[in-house]
Amino acid sequence: MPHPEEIITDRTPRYVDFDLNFKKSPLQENGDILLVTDADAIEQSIKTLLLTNRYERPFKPSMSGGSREFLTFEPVGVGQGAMRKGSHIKPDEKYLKENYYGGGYASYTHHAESAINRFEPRAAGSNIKMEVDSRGQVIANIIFKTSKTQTQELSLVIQRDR
Amino acid sequence: MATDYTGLPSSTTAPVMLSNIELSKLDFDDIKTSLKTYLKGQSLFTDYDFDGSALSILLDVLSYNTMYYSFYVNMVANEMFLDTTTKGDNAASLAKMLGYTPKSKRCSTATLQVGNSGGTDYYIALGDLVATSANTYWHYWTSGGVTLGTGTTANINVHGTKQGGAISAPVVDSLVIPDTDVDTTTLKVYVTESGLPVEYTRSSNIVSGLSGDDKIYFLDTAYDGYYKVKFGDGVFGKSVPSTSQTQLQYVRGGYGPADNGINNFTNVLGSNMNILEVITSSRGGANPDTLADIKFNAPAYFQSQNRAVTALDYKSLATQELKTISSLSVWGGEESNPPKYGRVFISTTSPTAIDTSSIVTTLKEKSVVSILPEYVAPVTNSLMFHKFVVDYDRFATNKSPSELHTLVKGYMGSNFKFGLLGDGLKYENINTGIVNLDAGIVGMSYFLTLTQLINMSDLKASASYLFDFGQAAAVPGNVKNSTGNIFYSSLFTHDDYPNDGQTFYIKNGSDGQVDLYQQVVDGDTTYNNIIAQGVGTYDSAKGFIYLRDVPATSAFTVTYEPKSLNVASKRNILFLRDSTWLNSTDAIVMDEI
Repeated sequence: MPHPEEIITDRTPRYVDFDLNFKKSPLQENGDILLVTDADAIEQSIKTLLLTNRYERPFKPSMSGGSREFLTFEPVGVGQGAMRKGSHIKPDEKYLKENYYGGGYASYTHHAESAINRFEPRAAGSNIKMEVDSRGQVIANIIFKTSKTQTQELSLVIQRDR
Repeated sequence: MATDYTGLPSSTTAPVMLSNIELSKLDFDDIKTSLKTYLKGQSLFTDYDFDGSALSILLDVLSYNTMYYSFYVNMVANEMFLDTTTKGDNAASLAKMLGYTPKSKRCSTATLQVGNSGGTDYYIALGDLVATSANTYWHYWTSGGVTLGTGTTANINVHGTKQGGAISAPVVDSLVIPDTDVDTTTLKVYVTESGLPVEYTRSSNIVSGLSGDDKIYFLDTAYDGYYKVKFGDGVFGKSVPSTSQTQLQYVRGGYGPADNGINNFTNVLGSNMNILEVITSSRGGANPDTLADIKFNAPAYFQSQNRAVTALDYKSLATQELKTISSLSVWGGEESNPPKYGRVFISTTSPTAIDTSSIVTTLKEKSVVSILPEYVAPVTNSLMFHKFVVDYDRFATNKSPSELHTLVKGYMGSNFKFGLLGDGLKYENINTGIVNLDAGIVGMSYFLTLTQLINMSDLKASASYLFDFGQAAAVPGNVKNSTGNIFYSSLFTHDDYPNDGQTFYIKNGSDGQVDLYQQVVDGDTTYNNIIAQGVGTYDSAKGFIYLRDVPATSAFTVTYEPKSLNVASKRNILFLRDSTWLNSTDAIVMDEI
């Protein structure tokens, strides 16, 4: 029987990250910040990635989720389907041609999927599907592996708050 | 299970102790890798190694911050030392501590003879435009000006600058000269005293016996390549109140070295004024000190302590005076042939014409009493390779002899051309250079001759000539050139022996004597007919030949075979490889061993 003061560590493989909200952990008396684990960690990471702009990260100019580059976050008005599927896509054709896709024209979803594959290797190779629903929300559906046999589905929604 | 009550619990929060974090690198990725390596040892952070993770973002910020301050601190440290500074302003600032003021741009100057053919006097004032040439404007820049009466001529110095480059700045409050391309040697500083401008002269230091009444100024560097005038403090030089009106006049440097060597000037003085002759073509134009110049010159200048005592002092001071100098040699008169005690000789080479008198003037002021500096032009020795044989082993290379030949020829085409004082030839260097060209080349051999030319313009009425080769002569019996003589001349004419014709040669005779001779063809044989012995003397150990009675009336050369495969450029002996040598088909011979 273990000594009562001995802490048994569960070494089950998992993903751990800081909570980017930097909230204080209620479980820690020493003031540690909150941690996010496993799917939550990946979800946070993908959110961060999708909302990252080009040249925002030091020495990684091409790291970008493309949300601000490709989406027009304008109120939906008469004759304006800014957040509607198809009309929200605003690729800078010259940039895309030179930097990402050779001669092709890419959609935002293509760009975002590529970014996740490239910069979030935990989700790389997983089934990533980006789509924009009828309300103009960008939804990232990601099915990734948490172990050799287990998968987890993650659905992220990017929408304009205000 | 054993329990450790003394250490930290083996929980996920317990850090694993690793070696220190390596933060001395300046590369962002290196710093981040170092931080990652450290954190990898922390069991809590099993997930951080992905660009999207929060920890990775924090590491990016930390790495960037670390890199930024590492670079900043590194640069600050670098900029504190003359050896490592990369900014000209900082180098100039550090040079101040060594008493060295970086040289400004220099105007090219020319001396023109101008004449007044009009009926009235003509006054050329300081700053007047005298002539133009291509893009350059040539201004007169001597205080007080010059007046040319009717029918008179005068030699005047003109300074080359760009259009509008002769500046007269009426009042400059900050005393910063408002042009970075100023030629500070042309600077004239006036302080208005009792309503009249009084000229102040430049003092290069405060140890030259200055008093509190001396009307002097100091020149200093300001930032961004500007120069600043400073006045005395009442102890060293007269103090000038900040309320005094000050006037600066100067010429901006023109196109630097591109203004040198100009012989054609277009007169712009007026119809009655003519440029009669170009006394000296333009020379002395130079660009300002570069960062490398400051780094090299400042310590050398400091070592000289503004005094010309050692040969290095002379070099430092002369180089500061004329920065277009490409090589310089200084030696004491006791080393000359024959010795001239109490003299210091200076010889220089320069890609552009230079005013050698200014070197002497500068050095006279700073040399030891009783030592007179004297400039002597370099003497060109045409260096010729003979029997230049390169040995090769065909089993050690896959190249053919002709390919090896091309290799050697190419190498010699761009090396060992000489042309600078002090630039001699060492067999070891040339042998190493050629052997390293290919594994098949195993060695080489040659012998040398040195040739000096006496031009028609160099002929002397005294009929005496001194040839200083500076190398010990080949030993008689071991001479390799085809004449078998230690030295020999080309054919030249003189009229002293009409019964024997007019064309003669000289060569070494016996006992240090020089013989005058003719070549006589008798049937199939040619022999030397000695006309006169003792027309001069030679010293085979020191390598000089003195002709005391050779009244040549045509140009001639003297060719000398040195004893060694190595030749040293001493004094004003300048080597130039014979330009025709490499064009000869048998200049380089490949020889299989």
